[in-house]
Amino acid sequence: MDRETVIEMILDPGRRPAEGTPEHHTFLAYLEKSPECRAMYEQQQVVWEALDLWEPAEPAASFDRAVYQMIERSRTKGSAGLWGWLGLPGEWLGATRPGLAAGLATLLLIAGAIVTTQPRRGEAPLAQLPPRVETEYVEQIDQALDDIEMLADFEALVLEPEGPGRS
Amino acid sequence: MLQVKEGDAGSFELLLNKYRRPVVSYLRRMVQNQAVAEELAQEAFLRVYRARGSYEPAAKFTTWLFRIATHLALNSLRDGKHHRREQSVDGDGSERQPLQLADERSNPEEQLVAEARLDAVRRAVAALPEKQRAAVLLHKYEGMDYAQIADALGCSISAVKSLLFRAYESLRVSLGHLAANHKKRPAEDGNGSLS
Repeated sequence: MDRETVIEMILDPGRRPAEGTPEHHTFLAYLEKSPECRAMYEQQQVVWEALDLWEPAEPAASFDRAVYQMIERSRTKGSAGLWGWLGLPGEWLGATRPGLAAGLATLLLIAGAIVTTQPRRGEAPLAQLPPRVETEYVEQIDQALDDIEMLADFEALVLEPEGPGRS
Repeated sequence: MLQVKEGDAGSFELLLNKYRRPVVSYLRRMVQNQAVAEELAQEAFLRVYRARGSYEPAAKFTTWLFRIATHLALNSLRDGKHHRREQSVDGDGSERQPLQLADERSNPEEQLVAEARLDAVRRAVAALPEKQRAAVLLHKYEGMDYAQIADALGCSISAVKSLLFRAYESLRVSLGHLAANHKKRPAEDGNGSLS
């Protein structure tokens, strides 16, 4: 039996050979001849006994009811439709990693603000429009008014009764 | 668990009855706070219920359940939830339940000594790094072997051996002062006192 095996047996009583077996005698003999392993064994016994003082916890009487309520809430949320499904990652993050959830929410808000304030593709912001655009627009209106005036003159000319000077 | 998977609600209740106490106890020892431990245990059972459809009996159910519980406990400890609620070891005393001594005849002085010893144990366990703590609790109180602990912690068996070696080494130092009246010889103890 080597030292490593003995240490494993000291730390894990489940690995120790059954009492009365030759292996168990070998284990005990090893502890007798190795003061270091013996000290470790004794100290480890103290640890086992100390840990035994810590008794199991009794769950509250309402424990089961709380579990079933959580299951029921989970079912209700599960049937909430698309929005329910979309909200699940956020809900999970909120429950397990609130810091990360808050960070992601902030990022989403910032991204939303950037997207809504950005002009659409190919569309220049109003402030950046050059002054000539406005001038071109005025010129087009003038041109249209001229055309209307010219057509009106032409119409009047056509409809005007023939005068004596004309043949 | 396979019956739960098939939609048998009664089987889930049986699971709850069987594992409620060990899971709450494990989590309380992990986070050292009864209220947080119960919340985490409820969450663990909810996850078991939700995942029942995808459960494959590849691993032992207990290992699977404790893997979920460990994951929740480690997340809770890292997020510091248990500190926000209350300072359990030094806190408002909710963790300090009256010690249930086997010997009802023990006098107040013995009670005090026992409580001091228990307090020392809690502090020593709380002082362990989280994974070492989980390994010790699964090994000592849940009686898991190295392979099961490795599965629950998501690490190799050799990593578990290393975790346990270091954890018990720390505990032998921090709990060494409790050895005053303890000088058993190996032959007297048989296979040790692991319960």
